[in-house]
Amino acid sequence: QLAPNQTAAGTSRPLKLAKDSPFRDPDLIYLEADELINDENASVLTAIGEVEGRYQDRTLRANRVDYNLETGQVLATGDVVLIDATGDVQYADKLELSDQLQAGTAANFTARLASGATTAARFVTRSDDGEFELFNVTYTACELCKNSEGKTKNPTWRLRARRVKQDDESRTIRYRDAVLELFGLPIFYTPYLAHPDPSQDRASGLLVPTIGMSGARGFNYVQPYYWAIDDYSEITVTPHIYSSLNPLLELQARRKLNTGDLNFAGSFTRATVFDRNGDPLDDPTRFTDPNNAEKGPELSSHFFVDGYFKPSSTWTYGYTAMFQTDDTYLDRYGLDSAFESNGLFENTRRQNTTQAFIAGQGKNFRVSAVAAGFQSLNSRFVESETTGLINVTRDDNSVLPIIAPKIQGEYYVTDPALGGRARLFGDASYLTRETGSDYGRATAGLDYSKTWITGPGLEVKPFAWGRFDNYDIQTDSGTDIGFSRTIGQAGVDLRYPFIRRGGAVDLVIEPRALYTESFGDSKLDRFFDPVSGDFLFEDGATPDLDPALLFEPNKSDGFDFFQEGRRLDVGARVAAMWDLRGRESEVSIFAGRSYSDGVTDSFGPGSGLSGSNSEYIAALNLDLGGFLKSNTWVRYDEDRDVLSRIDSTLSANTKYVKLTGRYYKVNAPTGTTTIAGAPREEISGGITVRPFGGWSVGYRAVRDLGKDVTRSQQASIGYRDDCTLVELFYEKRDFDNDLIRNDSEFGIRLTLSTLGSFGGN
Amino acid sequence: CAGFQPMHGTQSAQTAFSDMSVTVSDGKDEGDREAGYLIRQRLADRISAPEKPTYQLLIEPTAQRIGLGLTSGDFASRYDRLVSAKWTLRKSEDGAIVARGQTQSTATYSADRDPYRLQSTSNEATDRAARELADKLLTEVALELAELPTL
Amino acid sequence: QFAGAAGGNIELYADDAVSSKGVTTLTGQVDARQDDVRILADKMVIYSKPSSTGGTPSVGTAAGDIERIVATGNFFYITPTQEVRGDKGVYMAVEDTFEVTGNVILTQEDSVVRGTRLIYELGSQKARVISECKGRQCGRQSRVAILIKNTPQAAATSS
Repeated sequence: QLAPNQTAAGTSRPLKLAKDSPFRDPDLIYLEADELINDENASVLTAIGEVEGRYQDRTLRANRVDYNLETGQVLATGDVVLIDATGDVQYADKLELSDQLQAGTAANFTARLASGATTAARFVTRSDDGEFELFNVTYTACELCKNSEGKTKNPTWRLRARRVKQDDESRTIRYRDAVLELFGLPIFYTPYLAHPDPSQDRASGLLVPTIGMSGARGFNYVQPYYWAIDDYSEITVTPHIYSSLNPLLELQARRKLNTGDLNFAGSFTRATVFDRNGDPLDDPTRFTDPNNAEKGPELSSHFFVDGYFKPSSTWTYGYTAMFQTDDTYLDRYGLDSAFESNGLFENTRRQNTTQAFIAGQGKNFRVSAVAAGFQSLNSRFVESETTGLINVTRDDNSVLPIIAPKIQGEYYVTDPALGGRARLFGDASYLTRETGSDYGRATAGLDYSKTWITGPGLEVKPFAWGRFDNYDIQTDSGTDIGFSRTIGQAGVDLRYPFIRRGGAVDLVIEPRALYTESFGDSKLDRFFDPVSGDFLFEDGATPDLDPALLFEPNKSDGFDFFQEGRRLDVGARVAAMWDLRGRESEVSIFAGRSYSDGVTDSFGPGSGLSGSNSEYIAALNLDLGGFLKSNTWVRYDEDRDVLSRIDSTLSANTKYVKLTGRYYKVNAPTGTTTIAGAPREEISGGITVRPFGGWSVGYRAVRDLGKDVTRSQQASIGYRDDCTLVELFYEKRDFDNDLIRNDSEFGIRLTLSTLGSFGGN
Repeated sequence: CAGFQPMHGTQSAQTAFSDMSVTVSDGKDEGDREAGYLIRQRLADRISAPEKPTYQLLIEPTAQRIGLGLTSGDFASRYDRLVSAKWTLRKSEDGAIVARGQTQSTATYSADRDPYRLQSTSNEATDRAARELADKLLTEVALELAELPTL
Repeated sequence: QFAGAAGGNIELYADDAVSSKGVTTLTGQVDARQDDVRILADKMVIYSKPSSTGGTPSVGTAAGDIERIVATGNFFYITPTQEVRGDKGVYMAVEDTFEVTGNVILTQEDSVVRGTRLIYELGSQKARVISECKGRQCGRQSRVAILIKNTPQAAATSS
């Protein structure tokens, strides 16, 4: 039994004929045997005894080869092995070859394709245009190995079919009456199956179907068809057929253009909105407010398109359009909503972003312009625990802004005199809303800083920036607020990093101090609509002090809020670094606080910066040679004597166990506004254990510790060997008895190498 | 060896920083590209490159946003802005790799229901994370350079 | 093909011929011809039964019942379509076979067969080339090697 793609000469490289090799001559056949019989009457040459034949780059081995001089036909019998130049090896008891040693018909024929897959057939014919037709065939990509008694073991999976045709034109392999066997047990029958020919790349053809079962949609069969239109574009058309619903058609297309590529995803069907048990939500009696009931069956669809182009090394442009008929459509049909948008506005869950942008970037400048609109997908159908009736909350899209446009630009120039760096920056943002205030702001400013390294290594970085803002806000109540202001800051950033190179351990100590003086009238009182009594801060929310924010001169988040007065931020970091079994390891501690004086409007209560002195900040970072990494920081509120923030990440990565964890706890003082339903304490993460062989067990979850609810969890058991990946998975979501999103699913995902993946989504 | 000495005072780090060119790749989408730009600007005032620098620092940036605080309405109420960079330091004359590494930094912020405020807070977080990453990266490069035989 | 005694008279040419009691030994560029078959050798010994006609093969013609011919040294067996070369050729009338031994080379048009022994069954016109060593492990030299040059007209006119 030759190893896959091993050629006669025992090498695994396909045979390459030397330029002057005599075998290039198409009329030349060379045989070696124990005996040759030249029967002149029948004009047949017969070679007998471990015959080894060679024709151009094909090698033939057999016990006997009859070569008819008149018809040129070659019949090889007995342990026949034919090795193609590509390394495909074919075994047969009887193989009829044309004179070019091209396999004609063969009896109980097995072929080991270069990709390692093995096909065996009772009988093979080869039509003159070179297409194989195999009868009574088995096909597997698994390594066939003999067990102790020398009997070949059942491969993990094998496809058995009555007839198989290799269609060169559409580059697919078609099966009639195919049975899929798993460990020798027939588990799936289909009268007709086709998959792209593994020896062809990018072949069009039916991808492997997906079969799944879910409460809402019942039994479903999903059959994707991949069509490689040309070298630049491809479309996957996927009909979803459901036992309890109308079928759905899904399309994904991708086109490569010379400066970038265009992605499209869409689907449509016709149905009434249904809940997680598949019951339509059009019965008014089930609702607390009857006219919330859904109307009869209507068109449901989604349409996403994203283009990202880079015509030159400086300029990029792109657009994203996302639309769906109703908020819960993708959840109901379990369609994958993760759509990568490459633009300036990142798409988030529960929100569709439609934007167009252009950006130019060089070594010392960046300019960008974007226009964007949004569709929020937060409407929910919730079963009330007391009445059992459905309450519907729908989001009001009219509140969402349309950003048309937001233009930003900055340009760095090195000041020849002192060698410092000056930054010219500008930002113009205009937002309009149907309900809510329209906001317009134009900003221009200058920022200058210079870093000096003084004699003993003290790093001194004085800085100063000034900015002019012009606001024009129209509120719903008709008031028109227009004003402008000039604000700025000046200060100095002092850092004095020390390093002590030890034999095993290097120590770094880095004390740092940042003194900032703010000036100019922030006119925060103008961000107030006297008629409605609302504040109109648009750009930026209340800040959230973390180690990265401590040393930011302007700690307000965004353009609108600005705090006057003086501020001194001090902190120090001590880090030890050493080699742990040849891998970089580090542990570092940081502590700091921000002191302020003469501050007018203080930041919000939950920001950690309210009052004159901020809360204490401490951080611990640990990296043990990449095996174990953990970053934790805490904020301590002196007045309430409580840790107002704990934030920690953990990742462990060893041979058998992979673990990632993320924990945070927010202990906000009374009066801070938080998002409805947001957890105050949450732990999330996952663990994957690979005990032995190809087996792996995994669990991931997100748990709201405040309300003791596990929002989402996935458990999976997987088995992987050289030709298969079998994964059993279970998923469950719990969003406070949300009628549509609270569903659980169980499925099998089976990926057969060279056949594509196959299994419940 | 001697006790603590100022890191900037170390002869090798100082000379290297004033003899190093920085190239930042674009990453796979606009977010990565913008993060790369911000990292470069923070490095610019610490690294200066003469005509023919001895060292070349290549940085491959990525910017990710990881949702946290999953609410009962199935959307994130907090985010981690993760900016990371794979860096490779080479000698110009023969392109030999002197050192390489991966640095990352995270800025956390609370989400806002309004998409404009959310994106402007995210952009601020990217700027903070890029600033912190640049500092970390410089410390790591300085440490690697300090181990090299002085030029 | 060579038909031995039954084929009609055989013309024999040689530098020297000695014949006694039915054994004729020809030496020196022996050239035997019968119809379109020609046999060459350095030395040829012909064993024949004293035939009723009493004729014994001699230079020029050969007749009578030839039982065995042993030709040695630069042995050639040439027909219009084939040529066999070897060190030694032995014709056995009883088996009606011609056996050539000693790095036998059979050529037909451009096809070449090389082996250690060739047995020509003249009746059934079958030539068998055999190698002493059996099996693939014998290596190229000691196996029967067949190089078929499938020139179209050769296929058409094989005899």
